[in-house]
Amino acid sequence: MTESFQINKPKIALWKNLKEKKGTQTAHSFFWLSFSLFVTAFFILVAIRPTILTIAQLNKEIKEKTKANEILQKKIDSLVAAQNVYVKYANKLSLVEEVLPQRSHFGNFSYYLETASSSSGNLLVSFNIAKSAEGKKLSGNSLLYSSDFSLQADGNFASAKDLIDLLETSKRIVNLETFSLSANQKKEEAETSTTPSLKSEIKGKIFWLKQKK
Amino acid sequence: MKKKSSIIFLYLGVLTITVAILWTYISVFKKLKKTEKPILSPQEMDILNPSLDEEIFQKIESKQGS
Repeated sequence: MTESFQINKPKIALWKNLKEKKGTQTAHSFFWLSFSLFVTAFFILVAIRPTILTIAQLNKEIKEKTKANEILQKKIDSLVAAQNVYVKYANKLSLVEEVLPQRSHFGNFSYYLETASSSSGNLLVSFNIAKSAEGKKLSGNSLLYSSDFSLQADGNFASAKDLIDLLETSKRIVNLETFSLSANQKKEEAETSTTPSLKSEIKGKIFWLKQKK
Repeated sequence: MKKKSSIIFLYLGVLTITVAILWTYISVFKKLKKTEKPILSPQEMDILNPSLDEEIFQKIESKQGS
């Protein structure tokens, strides 16, 4: 009996001791694990996050700049091509100025009308350009402007037809909208004359380009 | 009692690291999605079209003066 008692006593003590030790070890493990997690989280927030953010931003910038570079290269190519085209057609560019002048040039146009009506055998009675000399912008981004004009001329049918032909073949873009003919003399005069006098009225639009400011 | 507090610390640690990872991920995602001022303006991006219709010049030349 005494032997067994002597053997059992240290066993219980050892068990108790182990149990306490085990509890402390687990607590230590938990503590170190938690501490490692906190430290890792701290480094993620303080070191890794800014680094990853910088890398992402730089990557994004590189992509955008590569894209911009490609666009600029295309633009340079198109400019070189445009330069070649310009050299090829430089002597013909004055024609464009005649077709679509960079200002309204109403004076030139009225002179052309005067010349055209006299050369076609008409007498220019009146010539009007719409009140807004600044013209109307045709569409949102377009630089094309237009102004309405009307003219009255006395002549006969053939001369009126010639005037129309001259206006249609003018280098400057002219849009003829209406053309009307009416008798210009009294009934008695018309019966006696071989070529009846007619009053022709033409309404239309002229166009010009405005330069970018 | 000691073990219980250790477990709470562990949970807190796990939560902290999860939040840190999520925060980093969301920040990167937001940075990539964020649209900043473009490098080139629309005018700079506008590419010229230098092709000209030669027939037009011939047609204009055949017309009379204005």
